[in-house]
Amino acid sequence: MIPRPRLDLRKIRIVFQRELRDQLRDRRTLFMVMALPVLLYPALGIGMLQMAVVFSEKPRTVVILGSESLPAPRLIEGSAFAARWFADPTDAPRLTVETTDRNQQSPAIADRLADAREIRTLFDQRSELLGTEDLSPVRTPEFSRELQRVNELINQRLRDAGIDVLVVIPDGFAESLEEVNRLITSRSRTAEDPSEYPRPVILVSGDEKSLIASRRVERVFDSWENELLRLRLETAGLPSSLPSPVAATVIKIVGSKQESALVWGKLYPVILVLMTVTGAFYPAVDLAAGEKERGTMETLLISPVRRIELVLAKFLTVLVFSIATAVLNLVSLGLTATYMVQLVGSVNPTAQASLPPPPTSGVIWILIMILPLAAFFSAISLALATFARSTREGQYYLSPLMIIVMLLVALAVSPGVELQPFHSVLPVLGPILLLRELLVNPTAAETLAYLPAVLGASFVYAGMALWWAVAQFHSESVLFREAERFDLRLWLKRLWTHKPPVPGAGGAIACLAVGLFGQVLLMQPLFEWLTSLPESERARAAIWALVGQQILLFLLPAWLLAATLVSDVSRTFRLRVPTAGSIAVAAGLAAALHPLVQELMQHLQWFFPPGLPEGSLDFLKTMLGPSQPAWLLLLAVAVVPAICEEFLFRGYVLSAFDRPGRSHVAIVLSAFAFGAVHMIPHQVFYATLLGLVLGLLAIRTCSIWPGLAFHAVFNGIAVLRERWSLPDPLPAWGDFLVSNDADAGLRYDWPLLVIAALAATVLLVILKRWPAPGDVR
Amino acid sequence: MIEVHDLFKRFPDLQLGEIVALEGVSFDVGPGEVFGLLGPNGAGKTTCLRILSTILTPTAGTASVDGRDIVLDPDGVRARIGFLSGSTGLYDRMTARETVEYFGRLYGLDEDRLSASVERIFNTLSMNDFADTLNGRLSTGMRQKVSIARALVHDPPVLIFDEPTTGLDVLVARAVLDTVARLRDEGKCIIYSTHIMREVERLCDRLAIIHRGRILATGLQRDLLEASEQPDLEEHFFELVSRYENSSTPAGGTEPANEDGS
Repeated sequence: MIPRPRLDLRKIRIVFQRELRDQLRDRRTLFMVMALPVLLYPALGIGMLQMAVVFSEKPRTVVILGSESLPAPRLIEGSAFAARWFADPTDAPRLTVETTDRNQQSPAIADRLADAREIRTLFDQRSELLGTEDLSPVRTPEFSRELQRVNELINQRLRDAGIDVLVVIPDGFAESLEEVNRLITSRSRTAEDPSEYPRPVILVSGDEKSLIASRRVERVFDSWENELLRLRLETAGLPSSLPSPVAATVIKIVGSKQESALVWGKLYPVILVLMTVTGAFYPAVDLAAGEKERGTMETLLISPVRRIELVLAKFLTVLVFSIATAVLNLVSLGLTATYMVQLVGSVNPTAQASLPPPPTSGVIWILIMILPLAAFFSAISLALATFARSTREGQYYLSPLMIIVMLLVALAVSPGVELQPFHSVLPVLGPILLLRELLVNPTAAETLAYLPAVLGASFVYAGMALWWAVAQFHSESVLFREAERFDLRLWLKRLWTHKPPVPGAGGAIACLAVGLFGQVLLMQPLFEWLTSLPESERARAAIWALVGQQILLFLLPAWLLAATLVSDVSRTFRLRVPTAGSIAVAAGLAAALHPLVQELMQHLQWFFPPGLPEGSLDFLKTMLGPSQPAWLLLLAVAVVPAICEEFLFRGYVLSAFDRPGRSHVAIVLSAFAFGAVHMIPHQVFYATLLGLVLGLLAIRTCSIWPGLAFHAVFNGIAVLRERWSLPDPLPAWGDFLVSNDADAGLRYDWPLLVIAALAATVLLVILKRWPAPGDVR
Repeated sequence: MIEVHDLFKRFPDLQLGEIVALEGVSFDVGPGEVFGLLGPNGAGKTTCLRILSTILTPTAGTASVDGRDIVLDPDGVRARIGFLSGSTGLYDRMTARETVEYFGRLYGLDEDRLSASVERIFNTLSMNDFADTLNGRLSTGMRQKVSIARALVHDPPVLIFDEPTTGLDVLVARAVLDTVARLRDEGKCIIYSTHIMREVERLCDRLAIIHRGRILATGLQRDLLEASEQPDLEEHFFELVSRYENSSTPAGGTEPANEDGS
């Protein structure tokens, strides 16, 4: 076959320039991308200010019964609380106060007062009812029902009467206070507690507006009470600091940078992601699905441009639009927000000091971090748009994408999530977390250290999405897909009658979904079942549960799907009988790799977030510890997982993705799937590594059994390692190779590691050159 | 220059089971001739030509264009053909000149050769009046000229025309036919598919009659007519088709396998 030439950058440039110019000639798109944000944000800002003026609240109604028993100083003035009791005197008109004062009688008020008196009677009934509660230890259902009934009644009456807050001042309240004042002034003691007198009650229904009003009333009462207390102490000749001996002051030292970073750090990532995605998605749909619809795709395909060059050129176009949209929106938003904050500050001087705009270096970081996000979303949008049959279908894909992305963003801006090594390589999360840190402190060296990882990871993900897009550009069914009528019955029937020899990607994903979600779903029931058992039986039960889970979630789905959907089960599961040599190589490789992987994972502990909570770790130790018989542990941890996982991952999944000439892709994908299923990040990583070796074994030996042997031996060594205690003292050669570490138990010294590495390398080379069955040796 | 040997193409389809679009198609075309591919809609003409232009890959069989194999050297094939069909659209927001220049650059023409070629083609096809008008504003006939210009800009030795007169009025269609004839006289190797008998009669020296993915007859036009005793090509075509339909078994060939009967 004629060797593939390198990418023709000139052709990519020509196509890119044309696509870009074409998009810019679309005036409507231009308006949406460029002009709209510049106009929209200021318009929204002004609109919000206007609305604040138009939508002012109605004043809330407070009814006070017994206002004649209120002591001095005056709580109420006219039909409102006295302005001096409010932190902001302009708040006083927000509460309309109605009392039995002769001066303010209107029929409406008189009615309300009558209603208030009825409610007070109901409330007294309620108090009586609660008073009987002390007599019996447990609430009877009748009691609860009666209480409920009275509560509902009071609630209803309050709302019907239009009373937001009802304050009941008990009779003789002023006199009670005076009595206590006299006692304090004369410094006399009494037998009973003088503060045992009825207190005012503030009744409020559960309505949201009423609750807000009641909080205002509470604050009024608090400041009035403070004044009463001050007067009481003054009259008694006591120091005014009497009630607050400690009164520690809380002083928050917030630098202006931090303060603005707190706000911008939450706002900007959200807007950034939103704009990057929408800026990428619509051009992508036009360039891929739209091109198919308009019939220009065919013209392009017969020209000498290679498919990958086409995809790259279109990707660059989408990228330009994504970045442009994000930058324009952010700039416009930033300017509007800054201006509005200043505006509010100038109008209302008592409002807190204006929020400074983000520091220049912060702005530069925002602009830099647009790049990985834009690349990622552009690639994904293009891949999705290529998959769609029409522009309409393509646009539907935006919603689910947006939901997933926004959930990730919400996670990234929540205070509990921090920038950690593991998080930095996750899509979307990594760049946003890094940006948050950089907005607070743009020059911190340790934060900047994450930059290569974040950028690198984003570009890897973008590359993967582009690879999918290119694959689709090579697929006839995607490019020339006309509208199909999808018939479920026919499809199912076809699955049965037209069984392919090996599984397809859909079957593999279905199996993986069962394995992954099955584990998640079973976690809670399993946990409950285990905790319900007596402690001594738990470890044993957990082991059997593990066995059952493996068989149920991994082995069974693979077998079932293979039995029903695949015609060549033997080929799917690679059931060829292996040679003794291949088994030996596999076992030897397992033994050689074990110490290496062990030490590697020890050294990489810092990278991964702690996977399991403390309690589980201890439980795991007992489960796998010496208290259980060795044969059981070997069965549960070595043999059964080896069988189940090999059949699923190196059997079903590997065969689903294996294509001649592209076996390495299948190995990588099956390794990732294998890793993902382990769920705990630490395990995910090392399972993926092993998955690569296992995949290689399966492909090169064309048999599942060597891999099975490897898996069993590897896990078996891990099990036995826990149980085997070093003989004390160690023989000379033993001391050279291994040592006992306090935390991790058996550790391998470097001489052993070097030997293991050499052995592993030799075996891997042998494996790589393993002759395919049927070849002449 | 075009050699097609035993080409097969199968498409999986959910409704109809498997569609066999081409079944054992073989023919060849030399330089300086127009080879007609005659058949009704759905016969497989477009599929065959798409395979020749490397857009689709054959399920079985081989084909080569100017010595390049379509599967082993698709890039080489694409550089040597000019392709025109009903579904090769134009970009509405580009002008005629921009379109032709764009594809010329993609074919690797440098600026001097490109402008010379564009000028020559625009003169020949009388396109200078609307050369700088947006494609979206052109009439069907003008758009077809732009498509032809696009296919010719790199002066390919092989031209593939898939029903190029669809939707054109009599005058414009005639102009297209004249252009094709002129190109043949210049020595191009041309394959021309259509379902309009008259075009074939006027233009094609050799032709193949294709129906349901199979070639029913190939050869020089006059030889075919002589052998069939029919007065013209159309009658000959109907005779071949009905003979084919009567001879094939009800459940064989490319019958759709759908129990609903749809």
